[in-house]
Amino acid sequence: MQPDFNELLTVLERKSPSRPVLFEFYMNDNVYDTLVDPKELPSEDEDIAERVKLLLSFYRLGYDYATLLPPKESFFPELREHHDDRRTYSLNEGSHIDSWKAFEEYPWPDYSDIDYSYLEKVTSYLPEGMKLIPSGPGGVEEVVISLTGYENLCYMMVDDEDLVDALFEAVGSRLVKYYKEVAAFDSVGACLSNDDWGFKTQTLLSPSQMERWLIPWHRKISQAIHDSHKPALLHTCGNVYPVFNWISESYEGKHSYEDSILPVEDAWETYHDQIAILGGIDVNYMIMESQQNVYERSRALLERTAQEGSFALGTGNSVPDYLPNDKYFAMLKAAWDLRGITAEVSHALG
Amino acid sequence: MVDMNALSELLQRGKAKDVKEMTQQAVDEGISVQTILDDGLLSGMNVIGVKFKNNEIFVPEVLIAARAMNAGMEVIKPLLIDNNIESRGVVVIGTVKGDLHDIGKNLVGMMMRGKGLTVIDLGTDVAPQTFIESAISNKADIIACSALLTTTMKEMGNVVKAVKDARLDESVKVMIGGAPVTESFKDMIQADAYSSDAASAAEIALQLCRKVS
Repeated sequence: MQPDFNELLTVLERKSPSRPVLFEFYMNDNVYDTLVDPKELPSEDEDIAERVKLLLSFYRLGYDYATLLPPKESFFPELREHHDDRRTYSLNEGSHIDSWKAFEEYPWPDYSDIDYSYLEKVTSYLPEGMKLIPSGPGGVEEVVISLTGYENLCYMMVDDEDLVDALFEAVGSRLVKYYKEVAAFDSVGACLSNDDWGFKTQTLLSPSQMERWLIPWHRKISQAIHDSHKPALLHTCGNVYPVFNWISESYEGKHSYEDSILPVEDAWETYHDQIAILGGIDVNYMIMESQQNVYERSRALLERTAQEGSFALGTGNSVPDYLPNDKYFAMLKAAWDLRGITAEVSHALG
Repeated sequence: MVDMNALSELLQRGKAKDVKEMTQQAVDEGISVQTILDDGLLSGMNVIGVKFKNNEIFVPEVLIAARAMNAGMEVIKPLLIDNNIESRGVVVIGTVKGDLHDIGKNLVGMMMRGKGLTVIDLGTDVAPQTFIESAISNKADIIACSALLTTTMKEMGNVVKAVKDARLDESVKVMIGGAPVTESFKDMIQADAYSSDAASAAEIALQLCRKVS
């Protein structure tokens, strides 16, 4: 089960890896607790212990990297408080910035004072061959919406364009700085820019609004990552296919696919020459279908993409705690079987 | 004389202040309230609905247009009552219990209003019994349920069951929609209608109201 980040890099170069590669944004505590004994974790630092728990979980399931959450102080106040313990929230929540006064009074996080030492501290736990993929504290659009509320933002885009300019600048410039910092660490192999651009039938903002307010910041984020010679990956849900060129011009990999919009098989056929297709087995499908069907679809996808590459297997979005572990493991088993590591991983799973 | 096409155009461009002023001018000129409603405001929202369905415009443009329609409706609302102009139907809408997503639900509500339907918005996290009580008190034709999550869409089945238990299934139709919802799920829970997008939902609702009445 030797991890090799170069296999993922091969996928991101839109080539064929020597064996199936896995990709996931994050799993959940049910998965982590199955894989990691608390006694294995460092006891002196709770934050590092949490990060090591994820790192060991990714390793034991056969990934070549582990994702890494950003530090708490990088989050935009209230964004995390709203989401932490709830499965569902409205994009209209948190609409507290609707005026210049509210903008100026907002406690913007100080990105010049963030401690990134966790990126060094976890290195000693990183198995040979593995790298880290840090994600961000939300994406540019996602954070702006969390600060204004979605409908309120739409009205502001007509009523006060200057304030919208200032909001995107305030969020975007901080995220560019964040990615510039984390991408420079040796332990980091790539960075995940996690945003939320679309829903079932469209993008949340119109293409012209995206072009004016959003895409320039994503170009700067990907450039900040590329400046450290690391690949930049984008996670975004929804129907973003009409603006896919903007994604493939800035990012090496695209994550998140939904069957009700475009099944990953079709996304791979259409776009794998432009960008690596990461993950994709629809989460709703995994919940509704049998383990056997999940396994067979995953295996068929790996076999179909093996020759041309540009694909890593994973769920369509993430592994929520309402997705039974057995279904998730059925998807992974398709890769484990082809890599000949099923027995080894099963041992780790106990 | 105010041109109803011009009113419709202003609405489509989301010019709320101008729509309000032109609606008032039309009223002052003695144009019938039914004409202002049908040929100006609803006509404009109808164009928005078609364009949205065809992905020619996006949600922000729909929101701005709906805000403009509301500005016009504020002017004529008292006159609609005075002239006994009835709504084309009543829809009780909400996001099901356990789910707080509301963008899609709000959008469907706007599109339905744009079809001349009265929409009672119960908000999010709505229990089946709340749908029933509101449907009874508002003499609703339709209960429209929204869900974004696989884990919450099963609540739609509970709403259908509650409608049957309350013996409202002859008079109230249940519509469902949301990202994970499909036609086959509608069949499975025996709801009356499903729509994959907001504009179609409004068209289906109007058809259902015509059938119910």
